[in-house]
Amino acid sequence: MNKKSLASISFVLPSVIIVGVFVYAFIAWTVAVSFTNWNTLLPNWSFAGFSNYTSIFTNNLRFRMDLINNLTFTPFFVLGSMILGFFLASLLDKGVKFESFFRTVFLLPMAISLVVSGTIWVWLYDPANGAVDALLKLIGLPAINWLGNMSFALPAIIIATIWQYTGFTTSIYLAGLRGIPKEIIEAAKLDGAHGFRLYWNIIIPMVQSSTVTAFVLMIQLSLQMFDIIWVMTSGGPAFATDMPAVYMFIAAFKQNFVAQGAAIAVIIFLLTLVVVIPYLLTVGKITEEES
Amino acid sequence: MKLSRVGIYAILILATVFFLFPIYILVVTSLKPLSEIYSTSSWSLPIHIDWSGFVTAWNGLKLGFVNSFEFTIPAVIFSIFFGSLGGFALTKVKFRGANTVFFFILFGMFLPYQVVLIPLVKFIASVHLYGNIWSLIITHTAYGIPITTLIFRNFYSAVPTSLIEAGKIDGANVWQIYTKIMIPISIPGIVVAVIWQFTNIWNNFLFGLTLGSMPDIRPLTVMLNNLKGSMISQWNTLMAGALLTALPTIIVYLIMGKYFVKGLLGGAVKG
Repeated sequence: MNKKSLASISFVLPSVIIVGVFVYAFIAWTVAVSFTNWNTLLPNWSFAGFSNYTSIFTNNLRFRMDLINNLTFTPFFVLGSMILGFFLASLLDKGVKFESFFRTVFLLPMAISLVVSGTIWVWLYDPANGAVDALLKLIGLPAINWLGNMSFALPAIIIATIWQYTGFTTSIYLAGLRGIPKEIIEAAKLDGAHGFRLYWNIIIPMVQSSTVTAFVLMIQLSLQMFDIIWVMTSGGPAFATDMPAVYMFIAAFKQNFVAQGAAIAVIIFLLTLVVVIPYLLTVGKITEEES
Repeated sequence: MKLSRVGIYAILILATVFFLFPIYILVVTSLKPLSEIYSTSSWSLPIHIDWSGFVTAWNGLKLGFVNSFEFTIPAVIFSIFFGSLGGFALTKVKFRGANTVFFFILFGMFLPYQVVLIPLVKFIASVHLYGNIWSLIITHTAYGIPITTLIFRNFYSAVPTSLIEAGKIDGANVWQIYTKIMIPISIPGIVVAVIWQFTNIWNNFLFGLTLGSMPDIRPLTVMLNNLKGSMISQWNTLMAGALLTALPTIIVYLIMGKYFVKGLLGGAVKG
């Protein structure tokens, strides 16, 4: 190894050490604790086998409800933000006037903290005088106590999160659409592909990498959804909007069930890996080919 | 999907209304006296502009403003320093295993923070930094490194290698090449990273919630959430507080939106 390589390694070494500790060592620590009896205020490293994992699945209904809620939330949030994002990006790509104004507006929620938007949405959904119910009454529909009702609380949060993140998917798709060579679209049109067929056969396959990116990012956000739920409902009413990340926080930091909290965290982590690892492997392959 | 021009604009305007109406309600509510909030529609403009919500919110949140700036600014600087050093090493002074090192760091971008949260708090306590502003600075720096490394790696890959070769011919060492050649041309990359990191760290809630239990380091986002708990149904105060909390990142976004999108896509599209 020459002097130059050594110098360059020393440039990246601080980052490697920091990430090594704060990411990899901490993950290992959490995994280790999830196999102990540390469900007390004071540390207890005695080995517990899989008991924390079995107990969160069997001892109470909360974690099962969390998984069901998350599995219900995920398709609506992920597909909702992706379909709406693709649709808006397609419209913006048609050479509209004021394009940058529309883009700025659609992406504005991404610049705002989820605590801020959560607070705004609680007021919008307020049963006494909220803007959403005012709108429903205006068109002759009955008012709904959105966040206080077991059937409406989760849909209410889904709408708020789609509002927050659709600008993100719109930007990803717009970059993808702008990357399609004009000649391909022209050639397809000459071949008689128009409207729906043009989208289905040419454009959607051409933006596949945008779709994969948006999908991975939205799934990953969905699996660790915490802030906006904590602010809007804290998981209520009656756990109707509870999620694994909320339960993890309560167990580990409010109830001192440290090992159980760690077990929930490990499950969230493993679910994330299922989508992230294949994604990083494909990106890795592309990077190898480029270099 | 053949839409007329009128149809396209109609849908875009409808979408604009959807994305802006919460902001509209936020602003008008923050300017109303409490009595008006219950006597008029929440859609109506304030009859009398009333700043009392802002006064109450500011008194409750001003410490959070100071705290958030106190850890956000250093964490932005440190994470960008490490990210640009790493991004430079990974692209311009290629060494064996550079790609492996890159993916080792990049993986941190997809980390669900839940899986590091417990050891993070124990670690911070064990080095006697719990309740110290440095706990938040260190945490935000550490978890910012993956995205800043990615941003600078993408930025430096586009810089022609000939520039570096020229430096080498002049006899500059790696550190001189970095400080004299790379840093000056990195300004656009630095702007992208500053905006992205500032927005993310300012808006963060989870680290603040777990590490910021002491009032003198408690971030603004956590204080806003506490205000929501203590000012139940005082919607003018709460909306004023929400607006104040969002203001720094909204201003940055409206002025530098172009760079914000680059940060977003720099982390999303390219590998």
